[in-house]
Amino acid sequence: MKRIEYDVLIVGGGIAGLTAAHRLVDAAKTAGTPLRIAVVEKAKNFGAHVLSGAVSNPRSVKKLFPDYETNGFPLEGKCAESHLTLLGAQRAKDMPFAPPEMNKTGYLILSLSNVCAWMAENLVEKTKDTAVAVDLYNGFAAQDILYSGQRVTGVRVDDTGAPEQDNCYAKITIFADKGLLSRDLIEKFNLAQSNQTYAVGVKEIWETDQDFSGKVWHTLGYPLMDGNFGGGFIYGLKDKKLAIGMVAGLDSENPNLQPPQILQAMKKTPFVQQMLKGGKLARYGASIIPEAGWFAMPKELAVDGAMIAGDAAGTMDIKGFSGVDKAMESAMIAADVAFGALQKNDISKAALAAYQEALLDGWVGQELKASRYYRHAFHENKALFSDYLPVVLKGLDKGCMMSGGVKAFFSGPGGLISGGLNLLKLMGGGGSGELRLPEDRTCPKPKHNAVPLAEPEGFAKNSVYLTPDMVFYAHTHYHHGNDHIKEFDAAVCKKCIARFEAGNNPPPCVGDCTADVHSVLAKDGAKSHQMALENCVQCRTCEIVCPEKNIRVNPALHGSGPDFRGL
Amino acid sequence: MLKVVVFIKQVPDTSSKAGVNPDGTIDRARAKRMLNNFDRYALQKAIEIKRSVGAEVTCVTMGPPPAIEVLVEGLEHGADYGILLTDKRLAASDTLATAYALHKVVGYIGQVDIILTGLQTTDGDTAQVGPQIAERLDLPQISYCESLTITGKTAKARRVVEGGFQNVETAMPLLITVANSATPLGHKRFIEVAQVKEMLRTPEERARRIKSVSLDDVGADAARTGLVGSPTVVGKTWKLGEVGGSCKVFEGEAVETEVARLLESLAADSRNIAEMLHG
Amino acid sequence: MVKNNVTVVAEQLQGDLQQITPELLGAARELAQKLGTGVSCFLLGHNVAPMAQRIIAMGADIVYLVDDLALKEYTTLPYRRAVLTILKSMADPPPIILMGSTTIGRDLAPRVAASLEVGLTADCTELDIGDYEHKGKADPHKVGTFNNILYAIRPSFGESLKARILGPWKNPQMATTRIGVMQPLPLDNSRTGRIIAVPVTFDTADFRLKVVETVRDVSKAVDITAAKVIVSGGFGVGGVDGFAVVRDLVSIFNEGVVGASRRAVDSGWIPYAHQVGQTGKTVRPELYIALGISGAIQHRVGMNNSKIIIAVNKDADAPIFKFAHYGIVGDLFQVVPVLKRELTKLAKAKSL
Ligand SMILES: Cc1cc2nc3c(=O)[nH]c(=O)nc-3n(C[C@H](O)[C@H](O)[C@H](O)COP(=O)(O)OP(=O)(O)OC[C@H]3O[C@@H](n4cnc5c(N)ncnc54)[C@H](O)[C@@H]3O)c2cc1C
Ligand SMILES: Nc1ncnc2c1ncn2[C@@H]1O[C@H](COP(=O)(O)O)[C@@H](O)[C@H]1O
Repeated sequence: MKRIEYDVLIVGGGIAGLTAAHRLVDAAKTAGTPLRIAVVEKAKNFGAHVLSGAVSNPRSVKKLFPDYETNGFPLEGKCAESHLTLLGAQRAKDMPFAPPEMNKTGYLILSLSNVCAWMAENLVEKTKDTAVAVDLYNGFAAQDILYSGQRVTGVRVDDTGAPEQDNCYAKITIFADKGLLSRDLIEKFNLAQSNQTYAVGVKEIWETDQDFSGKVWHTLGYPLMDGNFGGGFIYGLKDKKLAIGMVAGLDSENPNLQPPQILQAMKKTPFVQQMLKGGKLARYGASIIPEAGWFAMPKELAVDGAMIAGDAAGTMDIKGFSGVDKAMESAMIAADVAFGALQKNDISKAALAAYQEALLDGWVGQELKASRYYRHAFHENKALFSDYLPVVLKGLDKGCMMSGGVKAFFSGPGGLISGGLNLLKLMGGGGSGELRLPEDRTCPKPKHNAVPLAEPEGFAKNSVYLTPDMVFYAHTHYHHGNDHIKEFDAAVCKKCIARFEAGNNPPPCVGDCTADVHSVLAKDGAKSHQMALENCVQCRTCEIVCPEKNIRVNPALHGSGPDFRGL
Repeated sequence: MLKVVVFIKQVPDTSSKAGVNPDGTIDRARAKRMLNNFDRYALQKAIEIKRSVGAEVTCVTMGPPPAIEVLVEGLEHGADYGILLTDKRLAASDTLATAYALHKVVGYIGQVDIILTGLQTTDGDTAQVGPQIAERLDLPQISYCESLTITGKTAKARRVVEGGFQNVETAMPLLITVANSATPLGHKRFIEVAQVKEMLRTPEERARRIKSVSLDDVGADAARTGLVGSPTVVGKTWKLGEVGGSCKVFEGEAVETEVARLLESLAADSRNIAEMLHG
Repeated sequence: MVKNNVTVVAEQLQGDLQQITPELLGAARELAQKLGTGVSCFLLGHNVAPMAQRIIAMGADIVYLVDDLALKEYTTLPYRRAVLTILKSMADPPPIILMGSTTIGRDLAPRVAASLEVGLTADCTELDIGDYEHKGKADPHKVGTFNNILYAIRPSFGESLKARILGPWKNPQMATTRIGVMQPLPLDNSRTGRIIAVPVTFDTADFRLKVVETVRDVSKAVDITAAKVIVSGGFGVGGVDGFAVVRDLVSIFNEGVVGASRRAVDSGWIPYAHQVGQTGKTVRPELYIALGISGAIQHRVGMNNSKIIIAVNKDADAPIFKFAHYGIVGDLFQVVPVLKRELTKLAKAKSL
């Protein structure tokens, strides 16, 4: 049997992967050379495992699709009104001085999942009647990386047991998988510099009574007031839809974040309630965000026969939440370099290294470098938020933010001033030296004592959901026999459960799960970790926060998983 | 080698809201399309026959041109050929007219040993087309088939009957409607998908594997299909109300009182629970 | 009243009339009343003659009887032959033929309809008689106004829509009806009617399919989809022992079975066959009692078409109270014994 081989294999049909594919097709068409490209995507349909905000600087979309305003590219709208809002349990108020990067006026409002679905469809159109072949393998997850010596030769995508039938080979493999498989590559070649700092984002799409299209809110405050990094976002989409989400840092001391419930709490505030009135929940999903930026990028972005792009390469920039544009730019550069290398018939690491140079020398590298201390500033200055934010917000709820601010000031002026200055300095790019970030899994404290929050009054009960109910809106579907999350040692879990329960907390995998997958089962006096894998939305939070490195999320097979269409 | 025909249909994907009009009807142009779920079991049976005793499997579908997608899907699962019957004159066919048109495709293919259909479709939802094709072709039928063994030209099957199952046996040719308790459709194999993609790029090979035919090609009488050939029409549709209602909740009192009030309330609403109890 | 009767095909299994038969007769009677005709019934099988009188008591005026060894066990082709032979023996085709939307009805009806080249509407939940004006110009032969025709009404597109299907151009107008929906008439043993035996000549080709064996074991299999009453336990039941309470409540119902939510099944408290919901079975019993079930949507989609839903849950905010018809907020372990006691009293009162 003939082995299946392509010129370029792209692992992951998200925004980075599909951007690379488009760019390669464009290049080959322009040059008039035949090219064979494969894209493997673990979701049943393209876009079904992609979840983003997403408000994006139009620069990369414009570069890839100069006619994006007329060619059918699915826009949810353009931001006409941008707010940075302080959210209290009862009131909300726009911040008087919002940092410029949070002004999104003129930016594109996207459903990244819809964008990916469109790009996949459009890709096939584009190659009709040309010598360029793009084969889309949705429903096939790359499971292992194939090597010939130190050179990557492709990935294994099936499990019939016959290697030549299960493997997809290529001259160049581009990993745009948000790290799910490329972390193996990074480990094998020891490419990691610092640990990554992750956040988890949970998001709902609502069909509303009112039209909010073109409006963008980012919120700070309720209910994340205990020093936890994070905030909310509310984006008005076309057709009277509303995207509403919450992002929470996983470098949290709280092992019981309950991300879906943080979002529900935010929805309970009168500010959000008035938007949801008469509306209906349409979809729910969750995804992680690699936020550390510069210092957590792999040392090298190419090895023999392979490159890493997008979130897998850590290009997401927390300053201004610039992930989509940077993932796209990195993919375009990777595609250009890959195409050039193929033309010259040199796919060595040295030839592919031009990608990293171009990326880091260009605006992506410059911006990431400038914001390299940004995320860390929050990690270092938690107290600023835990100590003062609640006071400010209390003032806000009473109707006077100034009084809250003044009170906060007098309750500890020294800490506030120095903390604030430090924060501003780091956010602005000051600071020096290499950063070695802690692993998120070391952050949750068993004895963490969460401060109970005052619940907003008068919210509509049918606008908030229990976590098991929310999972329904993620439309997860798994095949029989699926076991994509590995728990290595049950005894380790038992100990971890005991340790956290002694502090009156659930273990982080349970407390931070976005989809009611993990739970502690008490049986015959013993407690063990159990999983309802059919709920899983594949966000990978459990693996990141597992204090014992005892959990690994593998790519689920046969298109299993959530359906994030529209998210 | 056995010749197996499997009828599969492309249906609107009602799980997504796209293409569902506010009144609940389907806008077929905007709706997402998918292979009828029930037909996946029939396709699986065809593939099983091919893999166990060897067979040439042809998928047949009737529908507008995009329905070719389900034929490609059939090939990707391991079928050998696909035939799309497409013709403007087929529009608004009911089950009788559909079965008439489809049985003509069997004639067009020639000698066929086993015909497989799904139990029902999710849009037509009648479970009638299979038996009606069998009637037209004067074939014995095994409906609600769960499992099947083939020896030579004999088929032994286990089928679902009310309260149990039945083992039956018949000689080919025959028609089988496959129950949704049968083996679900297996996963596509990478190698097969890759080969189909390669094959479809070669125009000659593509034309050999997937044919699009009209009513005239299969020798069907247009007057017996479509709106003209259908004895039934859809007169009117209307939306069903949400099920469930405002709950009458009893709380905050002694259990005895709550239960008593529940039973009173049931009686007042003439919900006769006593009928359901042992005498 | 001999001619033009609304006609039903009875269903019997090993000498027992199936539940669908009185339902069909009840529905036919109602249509017949509107049309001013009587009701006929085809009774097919072997040694089934004694059932004819019962069918009359259920509402038929004429029973066409084919009693033949060839019809001992249901098989498609001989039954098809019998139905077609009876129809041929009639001067005019009946205006309407109804069959059950059962495994037998769905096997037989389409063959008969295709053979007669008439329309057939599947799985109806309502039937009515009315008028219809066909205006569509696509087929000029169809245009016209038709009075007193069959309205065959059925859900479509996953139960979100109802559609009225019409086929006034040719008789018989055929339909199958969903089991458990049509109302049987009270049994009236004083009714009289005619029984007409029809001889049938079979063709050897009718016996191409052989039945090797039929295994019916209704007692062992849990079929929660057919149950009239389901008492379901959820996570709130707390464990295997908790299901004893659920079983205890089921035991007082005639046709009751135990159901369960996913979390209960996943916890290993009860086998999967009992699971109701998205990943389990879809049920629509007369009565659904949910004990300690929160009412997560995965569960809800499997049971919200139940006629009466009663929920018992400790948590007043449990979503199940948003869509149940009746609810008691309380500890199921306290509520169920009282509920059982009171229901048993009711049952005693009924049997007095
Ligand atoms: C809640 C949230 C809000 C955000 N908001 C914004 C915003 O407002 N603006 C902005 O610019 N950025 C935002 N981002 C960041 C942005 O979404 C990401 O930076 C960007 O999507 C990264 O693109 P990617 O292609 O690398 O990854 P993705 O788009 O996630 O794509 C990865 C793809 O790879 C597939 N895959 C993974 N492993 C495998 C495998 N083994 N085999 C096959 N396929 C595989 C996945 O299924 C997926 O389709 C947000 C992110 C989140 C989570
Ligand atoms: N248009 C069609 N094309 C191919 N097969 C069909 C078509 N319509 C119905 N069928 C087959 O007939 C079965 C029963 O369909 P239905 O009677 O519509 O419920 C389906 O499962 C298919 O196998």
